[in-house]
Amino acid sequence: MSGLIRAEFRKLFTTQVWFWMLLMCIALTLLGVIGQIASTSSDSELQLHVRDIVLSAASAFTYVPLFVLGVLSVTTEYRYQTITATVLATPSRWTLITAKLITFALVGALYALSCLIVELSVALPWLSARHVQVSLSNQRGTLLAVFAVLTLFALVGLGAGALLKNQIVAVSVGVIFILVLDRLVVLIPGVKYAYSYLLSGAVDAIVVAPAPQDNRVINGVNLLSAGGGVLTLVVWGLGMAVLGAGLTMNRDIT
Amino acid sequence: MTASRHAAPPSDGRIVVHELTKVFSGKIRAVDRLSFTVEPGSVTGFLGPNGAGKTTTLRMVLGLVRPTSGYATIGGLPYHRIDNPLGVVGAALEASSFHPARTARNHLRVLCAAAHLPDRRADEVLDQVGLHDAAKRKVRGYSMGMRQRLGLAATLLGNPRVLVLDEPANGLDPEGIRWLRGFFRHLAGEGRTVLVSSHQLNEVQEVAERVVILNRGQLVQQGSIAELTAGSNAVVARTPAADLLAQALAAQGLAAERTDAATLRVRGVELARVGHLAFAAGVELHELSLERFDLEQLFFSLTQGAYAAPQYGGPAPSTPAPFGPYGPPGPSVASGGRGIR
Repeated sequence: MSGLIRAEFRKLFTTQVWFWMLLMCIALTLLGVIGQIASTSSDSELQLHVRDIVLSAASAFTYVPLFVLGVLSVTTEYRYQTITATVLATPSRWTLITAKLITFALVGALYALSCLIVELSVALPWLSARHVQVSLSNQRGTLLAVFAVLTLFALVGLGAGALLKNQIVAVSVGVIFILVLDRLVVLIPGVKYAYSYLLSGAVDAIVVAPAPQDNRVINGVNLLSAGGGVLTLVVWGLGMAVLGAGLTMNRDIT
Repeated sequence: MTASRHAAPPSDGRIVVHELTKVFSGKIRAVDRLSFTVEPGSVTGFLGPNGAGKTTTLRMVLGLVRPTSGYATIGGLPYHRIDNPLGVVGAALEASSFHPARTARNHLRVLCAAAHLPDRRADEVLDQVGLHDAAKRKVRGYSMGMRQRLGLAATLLGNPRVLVLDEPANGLDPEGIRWLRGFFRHLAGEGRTVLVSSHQLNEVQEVAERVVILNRGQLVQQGSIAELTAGSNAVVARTPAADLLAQALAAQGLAAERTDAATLRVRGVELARVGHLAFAAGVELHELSLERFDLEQLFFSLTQGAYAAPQYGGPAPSTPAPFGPYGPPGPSVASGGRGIR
């Protein structure tokens, strides 16, 4: 398995996609940080938004590039037919998808770390200049949430790629679903309660502050707990990956 | 199929295909109850017209396509049960299976990692196929011939004893073809089992001892080239006294086939003997030549009519031509020649 994980890392880092996706994540993170700090004129009010500022690395749609990266990890293999060489080296689709899942969980964590480093290196001096005290030890849960969202969205993307296989379909359908469709669900009476179990609902469950409780209710829909949000993303990611490995990827490679 | 679940390294490189059938979409029978064996240490040509089912068969042998029925094993194991498959089987299936933005060296290093091979193998095999200088170039800048070589380099990474190559000569220029011929000889010299599908019949004939010929998904012939073409060479004699020569040959128990008023074709006899009989009978000869029956003729005689388009100068034959088991003879060449090229 270690060899396969190394092979997956090499696949990722021997093209430039990882770099552009990382740049996008960092840019979105910085936009979130700068937007929040610059738009808050009162220093005392800013003190109340420290958690949100730290969460920029997860809440400013930074998980979308991670989702796309996960999708590409499978669909690129089909697009350029490298899947033939990959499967010849690793005939078991289950072993292959497991190696990809482990690799992209680590990649998600590396991206989260990179975003946090850039975010904090900008936010901490700026907040300090505005006399806002930040204790990272008090933000451990927030930092963990960033890691959880980015890591799990890489896996969700990977699962979507394994299931759909077609790169254009998987990326476009996935991004539209994440950014638009599942957010519309919460507005539709009758089905709005499903929102908690959709991707955006799970992200909200992880990133929305635990208190006040009112913030955790969207249009009458109670969000899951943070742990429930993590579990939801895990089920989405692993579920689609298992379905993809068992159905789509298991088909003939012609 | 009784292959063991355990994946001990296959003891030999024998490829066994047994009653292999593949039906796509429930109606397209690409391969139909195909059985053949590739012996260890031999180079076997896998021949057939386009759409005959060669690639589908190779992909079933390699576990990429699931057979509808039947099985294929390499060294007694189906491909997916071989431990470290790249160390046992090297396969080159298509020249375009590379990420265009990845360098050749990195493509091979990915495979090295997956197969637990040292990275230096990537450089070694690139040297072997003459791509050392282009190793750090992205594959998008490669010509078709370079991609073919890269595919062949990938097959050698694990130093496997079995090689499965699908149309490795596609897209190669004459220099590439010459290189490929040497490459095949090198592989054969090392005693590897090689199954190579190719349209380059001359190249196959140069290096292969055996051939498996496929048509419309079914086996039409297999065996050594020597066996399949044995006794099929013919001596062609053109003479204004064809009747006299035919009588002289008949007196020696040799049957001559009359192809036109002045031409006789005699099978299973030495060129010199026909010359001697003509001389002894006082027959004037205008031509005496040896017509070799080669792999190309064998191939066309066995596969004619398959997916054929009208030929320039006339329609494609729709029924087997009446020239015996190997079909129509090729053009005459001088003694020692190798037929039309």
